[in-house]
Amino acid sequence: MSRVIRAAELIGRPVITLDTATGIGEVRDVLFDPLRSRVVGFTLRGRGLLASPLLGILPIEWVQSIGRDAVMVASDTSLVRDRDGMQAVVGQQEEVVGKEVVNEGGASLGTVSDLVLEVDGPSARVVGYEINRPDRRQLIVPVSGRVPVSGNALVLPSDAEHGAATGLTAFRESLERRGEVPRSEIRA
Amino acid sequence: MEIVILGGILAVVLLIAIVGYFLLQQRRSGTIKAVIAPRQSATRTSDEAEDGSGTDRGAT
Repeated sequence: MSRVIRAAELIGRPVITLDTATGIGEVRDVLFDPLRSRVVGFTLRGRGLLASPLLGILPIEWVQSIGRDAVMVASDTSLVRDRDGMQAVVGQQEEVVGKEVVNEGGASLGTVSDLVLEVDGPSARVVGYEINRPDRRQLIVPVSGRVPVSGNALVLPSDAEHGAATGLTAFRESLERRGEVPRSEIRA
Repeated sequence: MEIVILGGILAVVLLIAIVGYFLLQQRRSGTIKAVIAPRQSATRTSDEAEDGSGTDRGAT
């Protein structure tokens, strides 16, 4: 059963192993590939204010399930802890929250406030970007293909606002009408 | 007089605790990041460099 959620909901979610039911950390950053519109992994931090701020990287291939309340992995060996391993898993990273969004026609749409993901079992794909408009409205625009990202901005198709919605429920319904997600549970 | 000094010390300790709390939270805060694969960067590949400049890559 797939769910449509905001990526920020995954931040702080505990990561638990299936073999020993041990909490090995919690999600710190959500890492995604903007060209394939897929989540590729998470960075983890320790649990508790004085715990380590960065434990390692959890590649999406090692995730067993992204659940409603926890991310499940097979064991704590799923975590990539050493620096060389982390570099091999991910390349350069660009924070997208607060980044300006422009369309192919050169019009500024606003700034990114969040991503909208369709989560199905162990995988998550990016289906939309939540944008803070200059008039302080928030809009979720659908995304289905490549989204170039640089240190300055990210570029959406010229027709990105077609099919946009305010609010997660309306966005989910819009995706269902277009057949991009199966009719399923709505999580707003 | 002693009460004033004690109050001042307490205020400083409280201030340090509050600032420290926010710094720790900031250090642990998460975000959403796009992963840019290394081959998609602006750096020219060795093949592109060879075609453009005829750089001697060394005999093997």
